[in-house]
Amino acid sequence: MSTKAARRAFHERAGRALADPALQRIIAEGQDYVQTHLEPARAQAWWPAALEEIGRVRSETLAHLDDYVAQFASNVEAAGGHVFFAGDAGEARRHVTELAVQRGVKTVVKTKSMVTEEIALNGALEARGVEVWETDLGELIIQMAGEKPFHILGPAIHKSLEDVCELFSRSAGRQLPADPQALVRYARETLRERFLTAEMGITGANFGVAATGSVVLVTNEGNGRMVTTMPRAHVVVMGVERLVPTFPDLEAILKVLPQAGACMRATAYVTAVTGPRKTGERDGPEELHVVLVDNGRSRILGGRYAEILKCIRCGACVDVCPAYRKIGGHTYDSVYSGPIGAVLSPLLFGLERYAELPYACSMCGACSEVCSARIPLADQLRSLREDVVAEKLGARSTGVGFAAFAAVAKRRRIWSALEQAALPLVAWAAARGEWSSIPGPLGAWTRSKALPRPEARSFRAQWRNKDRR
Amino acid sequence: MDRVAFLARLSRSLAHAQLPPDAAQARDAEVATTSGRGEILRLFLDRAHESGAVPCVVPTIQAAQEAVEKLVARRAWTRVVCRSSMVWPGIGSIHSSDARSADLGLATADWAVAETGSVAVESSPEADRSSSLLPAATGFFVSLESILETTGDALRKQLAREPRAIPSCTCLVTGPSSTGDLAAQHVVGAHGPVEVFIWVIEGSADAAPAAETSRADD
Repeated sequence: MSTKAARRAFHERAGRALADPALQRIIAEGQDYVQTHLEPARAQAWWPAALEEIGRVRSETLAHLDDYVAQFASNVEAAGGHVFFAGDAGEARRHVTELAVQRGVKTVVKTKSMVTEEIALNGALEARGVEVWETDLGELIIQMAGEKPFHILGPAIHKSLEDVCELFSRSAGRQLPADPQALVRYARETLRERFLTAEMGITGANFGVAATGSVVLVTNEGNGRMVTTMPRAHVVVMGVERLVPTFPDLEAILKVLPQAGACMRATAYVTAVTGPRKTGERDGPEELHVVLVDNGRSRILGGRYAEILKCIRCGACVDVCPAYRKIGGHTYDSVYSGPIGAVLSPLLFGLERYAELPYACSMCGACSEVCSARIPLADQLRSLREDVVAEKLGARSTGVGFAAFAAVAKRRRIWSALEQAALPLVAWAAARGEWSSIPGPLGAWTRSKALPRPEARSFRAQWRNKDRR
Repeated sequence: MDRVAFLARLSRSLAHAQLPPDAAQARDAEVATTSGRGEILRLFLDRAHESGAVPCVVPTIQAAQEAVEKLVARRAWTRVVCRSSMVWPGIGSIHSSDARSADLGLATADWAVAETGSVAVESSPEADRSSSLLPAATGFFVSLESILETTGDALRKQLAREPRAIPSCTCLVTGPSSTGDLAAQHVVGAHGPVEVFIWVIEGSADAAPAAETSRADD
């Protein structure tokens, strides 16, 4: 898709979201809920220090990522696991698919994993005749709906109870009550048999611990425990940057992540898996495979955006972003949405395709303030805008307009002459009062706001007269 | 991509990485646990209750067993699964391979965390994962002295072991399973247990009952 087509598509998606009052209400209520319930934790004395510690641990990990990856891989293997190094999405997909096919896997159960969405794993497995069941409730809902995640932690937050009831009823072949308990019970009953019979479980990883080769999952529903216990093969697909050096380095993360992500002191389960089951154990997988995915991360690591890899996927930035509040997750057309998505998507998948995302931002800086890993998100968004301009990926009219402005602004005499010439027009505009609509191409400025009444005299003219008075 | 090439690519990138200057600083010195046992217990009970679990304190293992028997009788449960060393005459039990059909799964927590009200179960040949996962209700015996004050204490003491000593699976359980994915409504009981009971045993270092001839066929 060309940049121009991508831009048009972005604005169409944003327009649809803005014109949907039910969606606007759901997103706003969700953000307000998080901000209200997160406030007590943020007010605690330990909170700022915890964020600094998370930033420090993640920076330290990235600064020595090659060593930590080598250590992690060695320890996974020492514990009886297997490690595959996937340079890109294609390699990762092929490897996991071959693992399934070689083992005669008919059914896979999966936990929520953004990286498996990133590499489009489900489609590859299904093309080889493997049935894939998403077991996280939100992921199950969007799998049934055939949609992308709407939020990095709550993939189906845009769905109303009635929407979910309709999806589940269609799947069940009978009308289910639009009652949360009943719908969750349906998901539990439906997936219980899949957990018990699936030959392969696929998870992501919240973190890998380099010192022990452990994979840590932070979950609430119990599906993470099921997927890592019942199937005979467990495959972990994880971004190469998702490591910490040691278990103690998880302390601050385990305090902040449940709060920022779910407004909870602790999630129901923190599961640390180290290798497959040991000799004599009655359950647990017989095989453990860890797929470390690069897919552009080493390229990001080598540049000025390396800090984005510190992200712990807590969702704090998404839940405070005013742009996300209006346009929602699907407008980003990426696995990753919100401020983290606006930075990561162009870096991973190409600035040409995602040139609009850095502009899906009011530059309020709230994302940088709340980021659990102290990533300067707002600075990175601004830098990406510079990249868009440098690579001439922006709208031509914008480029021409700013070039004209720059040419005039650098020349004081021309600026003053134009100012003088415009005075009668400005005086006429000032007499009209507020401008709630401007015709022509500049009309976009007044689509959702009114321009204030312009001053009848320029600032410099007023300043000159100030001293005389 | 082979391992050497993969790591080499990372190393080359690191030569140009722009990361904040504090990356190399050491972590602050660990803060030792300062609370007394009584305070730790109170905190554990409060936090466990807050998480949706049903905790209580009993003086001895025998008292814990009686509490379990009363619960089973009250609920008219007939199928209880637990590891063989936990079996005692008053509790009928089924083999752990039938955990999926059990009404109640019992496990001995290896340790616990007061700060969050969590109990930890480590897998081993003697302790399976399924017993505390598949039944709709699970119960944990926790010895008072095994309760650590903070998650940090747990991470430092219990999990920072030599790689060979790490269990294949350690699970920190905090209350019942739940989900907020359905129209942002919090629903207790998703795929994991719907109810969690905790008996904190004051009296003994070993929370497991004395070995009995097992009714469950091992």
